[in-house]
Amino acid sequence: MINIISRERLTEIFDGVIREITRQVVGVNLSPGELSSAGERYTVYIKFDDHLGTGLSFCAERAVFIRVAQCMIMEEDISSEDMEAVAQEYLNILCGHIAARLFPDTKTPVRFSVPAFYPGRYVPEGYAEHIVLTYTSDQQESAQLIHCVPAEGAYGAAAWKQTKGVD
Amino acid sequence: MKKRVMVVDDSRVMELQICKLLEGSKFEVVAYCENGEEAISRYEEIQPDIVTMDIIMPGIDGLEAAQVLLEEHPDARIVIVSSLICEETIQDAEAIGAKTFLYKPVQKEGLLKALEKAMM
Repeated sequence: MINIISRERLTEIFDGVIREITRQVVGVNLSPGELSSAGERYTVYIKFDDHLGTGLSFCAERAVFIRVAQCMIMEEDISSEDMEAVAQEYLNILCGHIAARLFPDTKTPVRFSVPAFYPGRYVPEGYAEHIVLTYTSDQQESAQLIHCVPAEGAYGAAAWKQTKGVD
Repeated sequence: MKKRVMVVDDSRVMELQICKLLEGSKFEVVAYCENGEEAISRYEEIQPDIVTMDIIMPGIDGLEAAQVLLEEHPDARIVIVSSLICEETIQDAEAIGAKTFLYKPVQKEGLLKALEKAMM
């Protein structure tokens, strides 16, 4: 179960995976940065398939999603449908690697839902932002990975705060 | 004659990607199935040389689908393609009889090596 892992360890896993996979897929090095207010943004969101109800949002400028799609399907012209499908597959890949790295700690395979795509910066209603990692690419594009936890309930933000030191 | 590959993955992106990566090689994608059930029902009709199988898909997962395919067609060559790379998953894939395991994101060299290995 993901809630037995410290916030620091989760942050290390999320950060390691997003940097490594983005470098492999797109050949881009991500550095810590600020989320730009410019440009059209989208979010792809996935929910971990366990009773904790946590999820991950990957929010980025359109240019980032287009670049990922161009690299993954090796086409210059990317339709909105392709962009969305690639974004979903990209987050799927990130989550597969995250699940694999969580396994030595959790000893339980972490599964996840089919990703959903949203315009803008998306965090599900009733959810709190447990971990937020913000990056800037070599072309000054920004992206953010957000670990979302339910705001209320037994596994809600208060419980994470009590045990994991959420700010 | 090119070796015929059937791609099973709930994301069409994987089919597009594998098609591109196999251009100019001795392999070609001849069929795409978006879930395990479709793969099981179309295998006989397609008779591919190799099946690339994702694990996490709606309905039965790729490991279950691979197991059914191998029970019905013991000569099927199945390459598990997934980002879920924990040891338990690899052991499950080997226990079922999958030929090899390929990690996502898929890259050309790794894909060709995995397909070559599956053909041996």
